[in-house]
Amino acid sequence: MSKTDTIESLVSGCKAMERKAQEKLYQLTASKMLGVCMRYTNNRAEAEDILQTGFVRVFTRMDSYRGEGAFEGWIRKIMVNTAIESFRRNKRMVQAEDIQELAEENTPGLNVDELAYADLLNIVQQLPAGYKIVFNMYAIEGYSHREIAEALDISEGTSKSQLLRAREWLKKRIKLLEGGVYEEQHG
Amino acid sequence: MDKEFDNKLRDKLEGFHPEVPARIWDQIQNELDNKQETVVLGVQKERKIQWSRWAVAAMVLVAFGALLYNGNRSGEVLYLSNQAPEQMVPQDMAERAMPRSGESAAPGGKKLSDDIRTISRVLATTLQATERKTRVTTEELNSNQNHFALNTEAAQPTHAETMQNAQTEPARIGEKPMISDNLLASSVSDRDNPIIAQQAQLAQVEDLNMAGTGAEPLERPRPASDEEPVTQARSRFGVSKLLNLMVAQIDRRDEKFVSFSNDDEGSLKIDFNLAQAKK
Repeated sequence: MSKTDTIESLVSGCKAMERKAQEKLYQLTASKMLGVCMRYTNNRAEAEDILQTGFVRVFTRMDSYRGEGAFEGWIRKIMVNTAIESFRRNKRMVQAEDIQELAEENTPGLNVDELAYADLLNIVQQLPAGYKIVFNMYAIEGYSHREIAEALDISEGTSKSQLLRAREWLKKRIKLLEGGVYEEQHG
Repeated sequence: MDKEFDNKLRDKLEGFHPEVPARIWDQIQNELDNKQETVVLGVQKERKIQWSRWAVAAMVLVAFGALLYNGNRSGEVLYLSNQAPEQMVPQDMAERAMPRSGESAAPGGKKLSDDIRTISRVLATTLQATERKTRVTTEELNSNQNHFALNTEAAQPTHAETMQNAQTEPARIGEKPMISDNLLASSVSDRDNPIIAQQAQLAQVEDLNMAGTGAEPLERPRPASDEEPVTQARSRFGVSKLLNLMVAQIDRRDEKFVSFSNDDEGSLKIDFNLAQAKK
């Protein structure tokens, strides 16, 4: 059985609310989706809550999947939307500053590849809530500023300023981490 | 520069697939089960509401159809076994008249066919509404008992026996319609005359014998006042009770949501019990 046949049978099984098909789909995608959810939250427990809510929505809204685009991408979008809802419910955007006032700081020599997954994820999770959601939506998921502004009910300028601040914040933290690693390795 | 930074971060983060605790799947299953129960209950409730709506719509349509049908009827009523309407009235009157007159009541139930028995029973019920009018005629018939007995062979408590007598004595039947025809012909012009009215009743009883033999009854003009109460009583019985039977098939509660009844004028009334609709 080809991969396409497997996904199609899973989709039809999930649409029929067959528990075995649902479990199979969950086992195939849960780990990856938990990684997505963790980037939008401060801790693992919060990410697991979003994962649970997101999968319930996936299974109860299967009829809205028309087979257009990748099935995994459809599931991922539901997870991100669930995370956005959680953000809107619990968090407030960090006070936005005028984008012109933000001067881009040069931080050359960053080597992200050498960072461990867990360390990098830990840094992202420590981002202030507003920075974090805008950075994730723009840099990782590929949303435009207009889409982010609509989703979060903010202006496009705020979205841009949050993104710039998130980048600066991350670069500083990564540099600090690399320095520590360097000091541990060479010092 | 920024794009490059974003891409490096994305590639790194995309490769992160943490282990998922088993309890999350259990919680998802529980939530799905709860939602399915809610959906099933919602669907059942929706179906119940839809069914109730269709039932009410059907009943309203039937009610209006019945009203239209009765409103457009010309007064001619179709009866089972090819019996004319007037055959039932004298029989009912005869059943009530015989015990009072003290004549011997012959046992007639054995030979009654089922349909005649049913029609007699139904008409006995429906004629309660017109009892006042018919009682006057019955009493007049009692007062002229000898004349009545002469024409109905003196022992005619039931329609079946009438039929039997008519079959065994065909010679007399040929004579009687001529008498009744003459009497009724005069009743058209002298309707207010009580003696002539009696004779008209007698002529109707004779027609009963005619029907029993299978012979065609003679045509004669019929006073509208005699026929109208029978029709009204029939429709009053039929429509409201039929509709209530339909409602009872759908709504099995003691107190129904919809009930039908007729007032004294024969109009169909629909009563809605709104307290039942909220349950």
